[in-house]
Amino acid sequence: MPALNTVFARWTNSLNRLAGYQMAMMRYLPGVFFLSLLSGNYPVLANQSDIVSARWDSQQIRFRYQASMTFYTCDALENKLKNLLYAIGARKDARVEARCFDPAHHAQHHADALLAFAIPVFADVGMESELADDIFPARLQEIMINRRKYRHLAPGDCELFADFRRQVVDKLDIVIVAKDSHCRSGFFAPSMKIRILQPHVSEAGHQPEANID
Amino acid sequence: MPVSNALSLLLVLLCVSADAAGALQKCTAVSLDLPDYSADPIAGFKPAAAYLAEIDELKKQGIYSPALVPVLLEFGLLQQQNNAHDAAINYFTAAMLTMKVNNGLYHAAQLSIIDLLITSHIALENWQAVTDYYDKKYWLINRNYPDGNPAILPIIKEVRQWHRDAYNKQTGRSLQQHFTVSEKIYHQAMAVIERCGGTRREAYCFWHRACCADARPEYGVCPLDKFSE
Repeated sequence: MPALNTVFARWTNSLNRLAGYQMAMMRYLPGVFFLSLLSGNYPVLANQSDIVSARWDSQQIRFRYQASMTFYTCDALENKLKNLLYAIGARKDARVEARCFDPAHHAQHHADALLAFAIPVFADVGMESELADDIFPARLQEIMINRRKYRHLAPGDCELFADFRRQVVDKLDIVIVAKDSHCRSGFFAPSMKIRILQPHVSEAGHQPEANID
Repeated sequence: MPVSNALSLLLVLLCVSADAAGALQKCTAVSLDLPDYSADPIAGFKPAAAYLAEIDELKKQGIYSPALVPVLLEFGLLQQQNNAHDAAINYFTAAMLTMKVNNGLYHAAQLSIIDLLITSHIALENWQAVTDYYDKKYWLINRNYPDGNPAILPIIKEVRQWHRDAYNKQTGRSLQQHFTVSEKIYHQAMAVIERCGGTRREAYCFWHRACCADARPEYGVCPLDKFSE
């Protein structure tokens, strides 16, 4: 049957192409790793001149997810969103409350979520004296958000990731250095390179404590 | 810290309205008619026994004598500085009750005392009480200054900030309730800024002081274009 042969040939070609991608990735992996080290994807000790004063700034964002390809249960959506918030530098006490329209354990076609979290921002010069206790050292860092670093990201998350970028990242003082345009294909997990202010890890490994109750 | 300084600080918080008025040319900020405790020269704290004796003496004039208010506040401040916050709250509450009896239930003069109460409740981590007092502050401001006086902006901004910061605290409110109050205050403030001829930039700077001076080249540009909530 020629039609079946054509389908089989296309399928084989796709597999070969995927294998080719894998080979190419293996070939370039050391280079990519070296470049990522250079670009500051991994925490490094900063020069004193890079360190700035920062404070936690609380944010409230209403998030709406309208699924066309990937459906999440309410709990899964909350977890995904919380992990994405942590990936963009939110303090570890972020709260996400999804309001789902179908029963909570069902996959949701659309859901609203309330995101409440704190992220580091530059401490305003005028505020330093008023809130001296809340000021901590930080530095601008470029970080890569991808599956290699965040295991929870899956190819199916592209839709959610795009909504998150549009509704959350774009509203914050975060610079998107590079974003992946291949995400929609369904083969690749979402990825994005951003520049954010992160608490400075001192040589003693001390980080500012979160004010968690 | 001398009592006069503490009271002055309190008033500074309430009187920063001048900044808001300066930016919004089309409106005249009508000064909030709040009691000026700093006008009463207080050199420093007296011994606790002296306050108690004075309070007893003043109560002979009537248990709600207006002369009691500054003494109760001063004694409350002394307790607050000694970290006796429960006692401080009792004296501040008594002062507020006395003020209500003399000036009326909804008089704006309570705003100054509410700030003192909030400080002590924060120290005790009574987050529900803190939220209640912030809500009361917001309600009092709207009752006393319903016409959108720009002088209210710093105060309602402070209330909104609390509702943004409170997400990780046991306030007895749902996240949805915090969002609702916060958004309500945001729209109210934006209406005042717009009515007073404030520009988009002034509005942005009002909410985000850290970025408005373009002093952050690291971010590329001050994200005024991102300004929508």
